[in-house]
Amino acid sequence: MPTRTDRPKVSLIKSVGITLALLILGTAVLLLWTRGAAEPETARKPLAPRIEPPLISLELDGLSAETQTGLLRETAAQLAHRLVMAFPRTAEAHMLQGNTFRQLGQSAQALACWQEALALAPRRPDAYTYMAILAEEKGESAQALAHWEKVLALEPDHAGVRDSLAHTLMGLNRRDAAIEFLREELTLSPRSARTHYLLGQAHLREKRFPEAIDYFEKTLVLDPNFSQATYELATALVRSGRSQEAQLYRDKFQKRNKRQKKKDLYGFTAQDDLRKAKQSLASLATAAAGLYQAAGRNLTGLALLEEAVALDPENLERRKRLAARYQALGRPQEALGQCERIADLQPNDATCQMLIGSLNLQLGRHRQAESAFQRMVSLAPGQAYGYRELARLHLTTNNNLKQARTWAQQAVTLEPSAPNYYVLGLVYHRMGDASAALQALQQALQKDPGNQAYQESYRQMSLDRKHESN
Amino acid sequence: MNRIKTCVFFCCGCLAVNASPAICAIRLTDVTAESGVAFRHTDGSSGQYYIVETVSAGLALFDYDNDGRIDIYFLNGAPLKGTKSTRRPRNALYRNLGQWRFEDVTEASGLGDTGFGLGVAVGDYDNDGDADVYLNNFGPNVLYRNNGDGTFTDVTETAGVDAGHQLGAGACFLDIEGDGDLDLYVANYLAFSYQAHEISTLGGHRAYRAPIHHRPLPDMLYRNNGDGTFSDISATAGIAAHAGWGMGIVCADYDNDGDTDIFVGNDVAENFLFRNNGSGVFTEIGMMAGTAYTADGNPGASMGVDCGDYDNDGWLDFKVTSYQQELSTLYRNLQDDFFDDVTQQSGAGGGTLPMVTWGVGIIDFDNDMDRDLFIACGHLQDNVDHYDDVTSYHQRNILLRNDGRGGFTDVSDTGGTGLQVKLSSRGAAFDDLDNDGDVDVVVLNSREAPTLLRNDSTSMGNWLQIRLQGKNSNRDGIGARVTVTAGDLSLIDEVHSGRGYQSHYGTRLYFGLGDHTLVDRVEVRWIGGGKDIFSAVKTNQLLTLVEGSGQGN
Repeated sequence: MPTRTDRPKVSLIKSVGITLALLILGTAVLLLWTRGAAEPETARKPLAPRIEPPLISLELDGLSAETQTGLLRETAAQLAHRLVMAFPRTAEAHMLQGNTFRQLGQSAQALACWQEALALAPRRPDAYTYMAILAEEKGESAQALAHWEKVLALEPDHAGVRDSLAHTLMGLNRRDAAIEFLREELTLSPRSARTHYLLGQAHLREKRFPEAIDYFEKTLVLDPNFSQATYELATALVRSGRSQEAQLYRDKFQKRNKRQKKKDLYGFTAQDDLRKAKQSLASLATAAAGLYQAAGRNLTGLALLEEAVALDPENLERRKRLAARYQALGRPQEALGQCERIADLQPNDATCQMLIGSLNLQLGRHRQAESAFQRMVSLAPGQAYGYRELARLHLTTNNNLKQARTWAQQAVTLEPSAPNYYVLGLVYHRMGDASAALQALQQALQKDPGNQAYQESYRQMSLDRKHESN
Repeated sequence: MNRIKTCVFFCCGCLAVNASPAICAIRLTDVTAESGVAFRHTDGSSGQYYIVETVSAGLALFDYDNDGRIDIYFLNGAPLKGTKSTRRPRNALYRNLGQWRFEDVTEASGLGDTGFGLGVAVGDYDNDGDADVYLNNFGPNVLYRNNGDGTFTDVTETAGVDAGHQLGAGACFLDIEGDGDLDLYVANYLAFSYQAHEISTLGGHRAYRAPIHHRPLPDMLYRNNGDGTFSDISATAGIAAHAGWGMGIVCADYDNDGDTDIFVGNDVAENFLFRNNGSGVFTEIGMMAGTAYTADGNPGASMGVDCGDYDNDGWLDFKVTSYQQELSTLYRNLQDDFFDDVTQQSGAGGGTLPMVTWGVGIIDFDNDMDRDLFIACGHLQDNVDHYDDVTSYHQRNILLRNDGRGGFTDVSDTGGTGLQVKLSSRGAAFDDLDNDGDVDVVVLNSREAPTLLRNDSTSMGNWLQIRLQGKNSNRDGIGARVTVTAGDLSLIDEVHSGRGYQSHYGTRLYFGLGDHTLVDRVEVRWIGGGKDIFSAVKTNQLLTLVEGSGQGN
């Protein structure tokens, strides 16, 4: 039990504790930020000094866009092949190879890969979905229907599957069956504009104009920018003899369509093609990284992810994922580098500023940490988090405690949560206001009574107060 | 009475229960090799991927020497900037010698234009009894006057119809105001310049850039002054105000009001339907008429367009071809200036989804009283096989058989050797080349030899072919409406000049009559308002009907 003379030591312990808490919190946020890109258990093992040949090796400098695109596509094919060689019994590897073949325009090979994936894992709706889409593109509606039926059997509650199935049924002129599926879909997704639109379309083809009008109108209530519904509503109105009303919708459609046309003027250059090839390879490399990480081959996984980020540097999600990997592998400096790059690309991302603050704090760069937290507060003044982090930082550095108190109070005002009260309590304690500190700690404990850190701090502060009064 | 289609279904083995593809009566046999046609198309390409290359070309079927046999005129590309060529390619005219033999008469006829050919229309613009030819080129357009002795003279300058050296598309002769002479509609594709050209790539392979990257152009309308000259009336006629990426066009009286309207298929944007107010002034109504877009409001990449009454309801319908991942569209005429896209319901888009479709004909190939569909296919991206195996550069053409109940069945698999040919087709034209009573096909293939398809269909019905000869109205009867009635069967057609994918065919009208051996009545409604009725007409003959020679109404 610490005594009064131990106080500096206690403060040091607390400082370290707060820093650690921040680090853990930062890591957790980083992982959360990457939306489900949580690391498998194996990834947390210490890095094995294993030397593996690079899976992607590209020298693109000085080459024409056309040649670069060709090389990237070739590399994607090679990487997909190596994945299947490395993970022959993993369905995901075969799926990835199938998707790569599809992107390369080799649909027969893609189909074979997806079928192989299904042989290994028969309950993969994504494989059937890809096969259905491919069949649709080939104009093989009956085949597409069979695949959609499989998807539905595997995922009966998946929103949108019935829409796809109904769309295919309409292509086969089985509109009444389509309507049945669409009605089922409406029970799952009552606010789906697409489902309403498809119902309108089915009724229009069946010459049931009042029903068609009703569904198209509902579609436009749900999504006023649904231009196809606008067009077909006009058609249904004309067919119902309501030409004047139809004219309004056709005009509306026409205006929107002109805007769309202007937008379409961009794209489809050699550079776009190159960008697309880079993005495809980056996506494959990212997925491959996941497979290698799951198998405990962290260096390979990390190298793939790094390559993916280099190929598609503006993809923020992937960069966040890489930052999380660095953090998980104990490389905060590199994690910080990624976060700073994200902040360059997305300067108004408050969460990113928060991470930069946390990582700088971890690296002992208090000034940079404060600057990031300040930026976070200016970007999201209504969020308590930034104020609390600033208060914590000042606790850590033992600098300007008055300001720390203001921030902690602001955090509590914005969000009277247990962690915010806890930090406020720590600030009061550091400032020597034992009564206010205990009061804040009590609030924290009221909101989270089982929290051991709060209990311990409360106990400690109570003891300190006793010592003081003695 | 509808004769039951001769369709045989066979089973694969004694245990099979699934019906195999229908084996139907229509047979188109590839007779190119023995025809003597040596023409080979060039698109003028040199690896620079100019968009111009992709859209060449159409062809014309017409009787240039009035010998009763339909001749063939192929359009050709020309060397584009950067193309090295020792011999300048030219268009080619082949005279029909009968028995499926053709003779190259290009040199003698003077029709060997060396411009970059895109679209063609044929019509007797000077009403002197022979067929004149208009070429819509990339560069100056050309009007050839038929001298009546098998030769032609370039009269472009005198006529004033070179259309300003643009990148052209389809062309049509039509009589816009019923004054008895043929006016001229000239479609333009887009504003192309070598300076602004940029090569695109797809999947790392060189590719043609989408038309949307080029400025669309308004089309042009020329009024025939009756003295061998034309005046540009695009602005006053209501045409110039509408810029589009024009491709195939057809002029037809879709609203049965006695004047000729204009359907323009536009690439990557809404199609135009110009309604004629009767005096040669047009209002664009495509949007409200439902022909501007597909059923779901998407602008198709329209290529070719034909019209015909596929459901025998007395109103002309439109069939429009389009790009990959779009069904080629069938617009059913519902009257009252409105069309319904019935592509899905009718099966009229069967087999077209992975294809790029161009030439098109609404033709009764088996004379069974309803019109079938022929669709010429071929990708425009010559590298597509390297990056997309759902489609291919060389594609098989498609034959869809009309079931007489408003539906179509894809019978390409069993449609004869002519439908096994895989090339990159563009224009397609349809006429009775051997005068045996059925309609044959000629297809222009990009960068390749053309394909001549002889109609060898079995179980053929009776037929009637009609050639019109105007007196007060234009000499070819272009725009005249013919109604053939036999018992409870009533068929309509019109004479069109310029149609399909930038092509010309069908100066003769073809009526498949099934089991009917006698036509009760033939009614001709001439442009300008005159009407002739002919009664008790025998079938299985080519009939020439002269304006004023029938019973007036």
